[in-house]
Amino acid sequence: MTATDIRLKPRRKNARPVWDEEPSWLGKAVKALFLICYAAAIVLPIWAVVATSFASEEALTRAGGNLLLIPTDLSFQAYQEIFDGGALTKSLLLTLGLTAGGTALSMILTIGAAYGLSRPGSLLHRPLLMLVLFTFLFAPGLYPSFLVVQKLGLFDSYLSLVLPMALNAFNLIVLRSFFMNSVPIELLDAARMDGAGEFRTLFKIVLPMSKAILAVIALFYAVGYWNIYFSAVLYIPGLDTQPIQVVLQRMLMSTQGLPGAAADVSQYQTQAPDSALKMAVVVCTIVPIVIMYPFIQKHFTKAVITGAIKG
Amino acid sequence: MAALQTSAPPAPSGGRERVRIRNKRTVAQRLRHDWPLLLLTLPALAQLAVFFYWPSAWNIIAFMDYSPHRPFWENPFVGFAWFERLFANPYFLPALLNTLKYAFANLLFLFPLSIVLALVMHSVISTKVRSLFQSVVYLPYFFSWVLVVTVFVQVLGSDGLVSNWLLGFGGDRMTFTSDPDSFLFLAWLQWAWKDAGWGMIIFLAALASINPSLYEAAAVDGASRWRRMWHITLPGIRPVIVLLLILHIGGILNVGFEQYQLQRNAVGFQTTEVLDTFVYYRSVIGTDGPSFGTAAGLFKGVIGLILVLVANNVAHRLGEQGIYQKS
Amino acid sequence: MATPSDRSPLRRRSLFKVAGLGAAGAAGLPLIAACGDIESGGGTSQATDGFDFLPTYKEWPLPVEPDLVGEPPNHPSGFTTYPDPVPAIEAVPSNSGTFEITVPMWGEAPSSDDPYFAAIAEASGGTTVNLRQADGNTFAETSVQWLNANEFGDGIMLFSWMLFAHPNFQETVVNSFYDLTDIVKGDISERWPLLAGLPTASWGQSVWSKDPADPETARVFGIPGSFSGGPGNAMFARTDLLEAAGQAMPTTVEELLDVARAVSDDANGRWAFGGTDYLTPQWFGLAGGDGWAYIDGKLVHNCERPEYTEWLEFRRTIWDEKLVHPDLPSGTLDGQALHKAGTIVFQLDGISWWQGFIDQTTAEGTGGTIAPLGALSAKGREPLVHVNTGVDSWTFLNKDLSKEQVEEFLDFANFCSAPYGTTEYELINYGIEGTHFTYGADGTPVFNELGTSVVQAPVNHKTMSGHVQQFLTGTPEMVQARFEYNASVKDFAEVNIFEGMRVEGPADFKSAGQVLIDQQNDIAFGRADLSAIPEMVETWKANGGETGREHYTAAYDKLHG
Repeated sequence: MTATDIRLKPRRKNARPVWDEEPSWLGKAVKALFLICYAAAIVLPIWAVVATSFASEEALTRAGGNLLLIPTDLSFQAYQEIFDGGALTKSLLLTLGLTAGGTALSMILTIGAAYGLSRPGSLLHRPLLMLVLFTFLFAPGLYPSFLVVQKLGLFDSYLSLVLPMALNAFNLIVLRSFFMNSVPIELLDAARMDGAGEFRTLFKIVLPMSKAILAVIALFYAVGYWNIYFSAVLYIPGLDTQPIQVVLQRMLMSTQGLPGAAADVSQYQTQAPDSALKMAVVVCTIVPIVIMYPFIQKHFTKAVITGAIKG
Repeated sequence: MAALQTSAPPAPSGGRERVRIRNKRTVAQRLRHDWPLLLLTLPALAQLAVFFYWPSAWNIIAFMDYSPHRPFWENPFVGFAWFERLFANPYFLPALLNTLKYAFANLLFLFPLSIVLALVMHSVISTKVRSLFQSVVYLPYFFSWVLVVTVFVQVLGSDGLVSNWLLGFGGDRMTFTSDPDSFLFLAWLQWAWKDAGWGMIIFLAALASINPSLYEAAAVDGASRWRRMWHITLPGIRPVIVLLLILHIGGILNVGFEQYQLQRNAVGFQTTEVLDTFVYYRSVIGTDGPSFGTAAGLFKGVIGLILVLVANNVAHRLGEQGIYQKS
Repeated sequence: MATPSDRSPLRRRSLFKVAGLGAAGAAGLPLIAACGDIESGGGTSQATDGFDFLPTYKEWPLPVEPDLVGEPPNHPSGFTTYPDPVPAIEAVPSNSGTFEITVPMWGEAPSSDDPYFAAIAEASGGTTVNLRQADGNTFAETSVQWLNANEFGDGIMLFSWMLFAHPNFQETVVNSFYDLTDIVKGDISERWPLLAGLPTASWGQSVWSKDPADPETARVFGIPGSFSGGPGNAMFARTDLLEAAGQAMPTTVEELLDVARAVSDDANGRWAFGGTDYLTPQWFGLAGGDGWAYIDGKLVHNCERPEYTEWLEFRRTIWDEKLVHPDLPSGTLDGQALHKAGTIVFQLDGISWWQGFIDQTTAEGTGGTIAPLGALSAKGREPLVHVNTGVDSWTFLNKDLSKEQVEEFLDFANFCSAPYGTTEYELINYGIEGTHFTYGADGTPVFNELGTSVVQAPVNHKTMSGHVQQFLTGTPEMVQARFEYNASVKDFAEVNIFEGMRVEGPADFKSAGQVLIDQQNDIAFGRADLSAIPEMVETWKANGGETGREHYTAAYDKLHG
């Protein structure tokens, strides 16, 4: 289901409405060319990355470059190295753990507050909502945030990658709007008549009805944690195992072998061709996103439309 | 996507009925009734208190000669001395200008691209083509900046794919990814690659909410394709455009850190220094000290606050809803 | 986004109220309070000799005398043979404490389960010192944060060059570290004979004043590392590649340029140079340290001298002529690997790369020979060689330790100070025989694979405390070669105009210096033109350069009367 299916519903699939005139062949050609070029500009680099990650040293030397468009042979050496239990494996596991743990925590915070703030008129509703909304207007600044992490003793602790970004006020407000506008009030009233408390109502009625939007919000959180880079640079410079984006950055920036800094090489001493290994890490950072993508996409467009139409 | 919710007509009856008159009850009664809601909200509020409001309060050290080795209240207040020092710093103004430059460039070039993409897509009839294309173009939105910069260096860098083709044809290496003069264009390509598809999705959703009968009526009246676009399509998505513009302007100084930090070595600090990197390199890992960096950050925060209020006000005057309503 | 229905409380007025309150709160407080001037980050100057509270020096007689006798510290003596080690400490203490010391680490940190660490704990008398190893590349900057947050375990090891990363190190020292004065004052030769044998200058350089304006508040805050001298860095040439190209070792900057042009081949991926930033100023007679020279009755900074332009011209020339690896500006080039591969012919590195190259190429079987360039100069001037004379590093202990703990750690430091020719030295520097090293044909210890990864780490217990005297050691040929190299450059050694004082520049000066480095790179990598230099220097002067000159001139006058 795509975002535009709704618009298409009233008419037959793949049919032009009767009132719409046929565009000129030139218009069609230009449009097609534009779309093809645009898609190619996105797909080709990704394809080259994947192709290179499976290349052998020999194939790369023959191609005389760092990136291949056409793989001539298949080598899994780069992937073997990533998963051999060394620094890269640790980094991937760490990032996975952060993503899973962080997303779970974020969802708990977001669902709780979105539901808690979804009853205008409840005790302290307005001031609490204001506290949330004010975060849209002002940013506390890089240094004070850094200082607080330090004061809490979270500097050089993995918690500093999760806790400061655990709540996204934007997601909270989106979910709150959904709870307020898309869960029929009759259902909630019926539940209350049956003597169900707020917790029961939340778990038995509201959440099951909100699966799509929850999936989308979870995706946003998960992608945020998976892509952690800046927080790691800022908050955990002293730790050995760094999130995968940091490792990738160090690898990218060095021409020879892995992580940039001169003496660091031994840690990642490799057998596979450098560019294959780099690209294999790139593939590893893309794959989880690509795997989740189709599942979420289904809900995603639905949620966007819900947001857009129901407001 | 939440942005869209405000632009749409107010919610049907449901939302309104839910507001109950509870004010006549005492606080104790309301507490007895609402404690589960408060309890559910509490963890999120605790997070905000610790990681938003507490650091916000720490901004006070921008007015102090702060040292981490003194008890807090023994740090002397110095008024706006740090701000004076900030404006006297020859790298602050360039960083501010760079920030504005990239912010406005992003606004000016990326918005139209997203809108054009959305319009083109909107006119494609085949659902298969549409869903395939959509899936492809907004995938990079979920990629990290590290990944985007990696891909760009591998393809367009001095030892990248294109450079090697050029060498093969007897040409010279490309210096595109390390040339400060063309960095703005490089940055724009990166935005286009990473974010244009996402913008397209938002505008597509807005386009989808335009009532098709409007088009039909216009077509029956003999309005051409272009006239229909001008008189129906664009006004239809105007609220969304305005809303996104305001959001962008509010966050205009938040151009991001990663894209610039990651390319700092390659392109040089003059071109890539924005306010956030300024704070990081001068204060967090530099020797200018906590108060200096805090002053720079606070300056940025206050300007951002003013910008969003002004932008919203302008939107109201133009008859748009903006991000919050008039009372 | 924020208004799901028109009953939402988020209306403009209330929002303004919230925003306004915050702004008033932020702006009001400082206005009410008295306004003063910024005092922090003004820089300090600290005398490092003439104290009466240092440990009394008592010579610790060496078990074996070096066979190559130089003129320490800039021309250290060396050993070309490996003596039979003798124990240095007769009365081994009986301790049981555990310490965690934060140290920089370049490369992979060895496992703490290795028998090396257990053996050291046992031999030292039962003290376990665990290393908290952090990335050496970011260690200097990160240490600022650890110290601010008091999160560095029981102590931290800092190299002297790392102090420059701190906005105000003097303040950090006196607030974060244990004041050792009362413990080490006077005669300590009874309990810590090796520490008493450290040069008085070492202890003098471990002094910071609690109040920088008052010399009476000076105290000992760190355990000094070795007092060493001589050139710390060199430009290493791949002599085998030069020979193959029919080129001789260059002896002047002009010759070097010719050689570089002859060996570089951009299209085929070979370049003369990788990094050239930090050693090359000396070829043009520019000062080391913080960049000050005393010329015609006043202090002049490198960037104000005509030679500065010459130096940048040189860096720009080699860039424009493609004699430099094109990816150098990315800042993360692995120069050592490229040097081993012959992709770059001249590698700027620490002096230990000489031995490192031999060790690594032998292990990898790749071959090649290197040698450092001698004292080069341009335009027939007298050469200048920057030397690092002074304490290499300090171990600072956390102020929260108890007196007994500090004393126990000093027992351990005493153990680590044992010099070449002692069993303690052998254990700390080579590990356990059979496990980490074996004796080679000439009697010198040779690392095996485990030894290379565990014991040969650049920083561990061997740098925790200084040796009573620092020697050249290693394979006989290397010792001989380094000895001769030091002899050949020692006459050109730069004289430190701040001898006897540690000057910490004002924060402005440091920050202006950082900017200058960024701008130098812009010129060197073709991102800015040489014509930008005068403006750069003016900016530098206005934004910390002149403040720096005042500060350093005051220090200079104090020293030289």
